[in-house]
Amino acid sequence: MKYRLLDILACPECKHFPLKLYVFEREEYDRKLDLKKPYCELYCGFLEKPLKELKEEPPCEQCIRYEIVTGLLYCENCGRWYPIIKRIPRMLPDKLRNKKEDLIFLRKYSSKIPEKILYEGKPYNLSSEK
Amino acid sequence: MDPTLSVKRVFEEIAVSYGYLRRRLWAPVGVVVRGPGVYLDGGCGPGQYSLYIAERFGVWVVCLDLAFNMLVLAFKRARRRGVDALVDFVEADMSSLPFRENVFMGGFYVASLHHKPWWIGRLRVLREAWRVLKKNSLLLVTVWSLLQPRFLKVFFDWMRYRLQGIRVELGDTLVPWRRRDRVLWRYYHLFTLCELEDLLRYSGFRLGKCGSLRVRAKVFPENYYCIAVKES
Repeated sequence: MKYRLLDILACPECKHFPLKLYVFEREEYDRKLDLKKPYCELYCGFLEKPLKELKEEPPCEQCIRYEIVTGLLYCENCGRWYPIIKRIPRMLPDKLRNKKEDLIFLRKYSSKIPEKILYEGKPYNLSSEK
Repeated sequence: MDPTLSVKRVFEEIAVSYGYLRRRLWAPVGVVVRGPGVYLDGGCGPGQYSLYIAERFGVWVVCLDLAFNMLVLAFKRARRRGVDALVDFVEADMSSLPFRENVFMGGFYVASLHHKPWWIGRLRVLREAWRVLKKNSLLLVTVWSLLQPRFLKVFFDWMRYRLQGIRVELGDTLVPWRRRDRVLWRYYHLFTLCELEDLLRYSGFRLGKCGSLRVRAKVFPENYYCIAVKES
């Protein structure tokens, strides 16, 4: 996913916006867009700030070059987390999530995930392995 | 098992061969594009329509699908065709969209709404679409038609199930995806045009052009489409 997606993403369960992004791995591509700046409407995901609060022009050309390969999205309202695997954010509602895969993901990146998500994150967490 | 989950599993499994077969563009998705902005592709599959829209109009398209493998395939294609700066992929359920309100300039649900079981489930999908679309934006929905000779059996099945007291809707059926080793069954709810129109009206849209689309058939069309407008 690109940082730009944070401008529109909300939590699928509680519809909270914006989500918090943790990047574990990202790639840089040589690409550009001929669009009017800023590309986003409300929220700059690259600087993690609403566009209104930005004093300088956002670095859109730089932002669009990155593709997040693995990472995690966190909803600060309801405490749910969503993984980003193979460049694709998996924003599934609770009933369609796979507990086994989710726990494997948490274990694999446990050194990079904040403790709050690791042990208190919804719908699945590692609290039993503490 | 939850029917949505079973549809997800089947499409995860058939992603590669499905993506290889679905290349022809038969739905008029270009009609929803009205200037620059973000567009939603609900149930993108291997992403053939989104890539076309991104290439043709140079607008940002967000592809949404329930099958993760399908999206991995779609990303590879976007990269190969050089439009990966314009296309984004999200794995999500159409009935709980992970987007804030009023973001999309338009949307198209090509052959995806008919995979949702129950009338209320499909209504929820369209209500969610209504929520994320901007005012005066267009939504194109295409679904499979019930009135085809190959689905004559569905009427008799429905009657049989009703006599047995099993709760099914008219038009619910399982369509096979044949592979060399085994057959995978996908859930479909086949529509009549009237039903699709009503569903869109109930979800708050104003109807624009509606009709049928023939892909290969000569007499009975395989698909119905509706173009709807979010007015308020």
